[in-house]
Amino acid sequence: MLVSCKDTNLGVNVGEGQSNISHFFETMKVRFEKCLDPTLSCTEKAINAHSVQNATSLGLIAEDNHV
Amino acid sequence: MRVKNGSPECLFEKVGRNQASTFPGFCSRHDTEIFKPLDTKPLSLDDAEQLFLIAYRSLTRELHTVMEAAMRLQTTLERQIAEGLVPKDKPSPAMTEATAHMIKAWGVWKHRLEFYDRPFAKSRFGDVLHSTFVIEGRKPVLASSSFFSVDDKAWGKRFAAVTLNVIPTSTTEAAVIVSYPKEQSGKARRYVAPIFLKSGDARLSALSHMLVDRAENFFVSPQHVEGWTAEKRKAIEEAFVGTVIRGEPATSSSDLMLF
Repeated sequence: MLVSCKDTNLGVNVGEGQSNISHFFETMKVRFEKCLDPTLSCTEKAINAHSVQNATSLGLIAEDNHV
Repeated sequence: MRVKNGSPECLFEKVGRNQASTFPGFCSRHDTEIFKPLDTKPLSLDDAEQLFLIAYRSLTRELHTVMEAAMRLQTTLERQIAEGLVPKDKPSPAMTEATAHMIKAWGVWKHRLEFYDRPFAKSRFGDVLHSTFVIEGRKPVLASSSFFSVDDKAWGKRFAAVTLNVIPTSTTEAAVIVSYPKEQSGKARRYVAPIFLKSGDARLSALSHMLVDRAENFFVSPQHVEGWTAEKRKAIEEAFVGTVIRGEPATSSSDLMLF
């Protein structure tokens, strides 16, 4: 099985029907916010950081600050 | 990606620049300290430390994604146990799924530990190699940061993988960087050969196919998307959702050209 983000983004069984939909959205609100520093020992809360190399590069493709 | 009428749906939609591509993967101090060489100097494709850090950030984003997915599945399992829907001490589909994703997260972390964290601790940036090229003479229209395997090992097993970054660097250029551990260079280069053995539009078409097929963290200029026909847009969205939901590889098509 190939490993990719694509395998996990919908890891919750979203197709099981409407009866589970509220649980699905509740579960999707669960956030993992631990700092993943190289030693995994940091106890500080993580901040939102860009994964695409710096905000400037996104600015080169943005329109009205949107991509 | 969103859920409509109980089914997943994938559509291009505008996202604020400051929300796009962000992930809570580092505290403020580590984000600043680790990526200082990237954030304080112009990007150079000859700078091994910068290229290492670009790959490190992509891989950590994936680590965050798989750890969050594992945590969500564990939360679901615990809720189902609390509600008496599944037994606490016997195997169930929910337990199997939660365990499988925990093993996957473990595998991604082991990959980062072995091929990135240990070299990083000793500043051995050359332990990660890179294949690069520059898209020149045209306005950048896409940015991406992704990580994916290049073999088909089971979750939790040692696997070969690459990071793929597309980084707009000026109004007329974008850098394409594929990074991989030195010992996995053979598998990695073979996997991305369809891109690197071509040139011009054929190369960009191969890159587009790989992005739709394997990446999920890419952003396209709104103006560029608006220039696509409805058929092309739908073809990309359907190909993308097919790879995510049904595990179907994207079929090669001129409609998948993203540039």
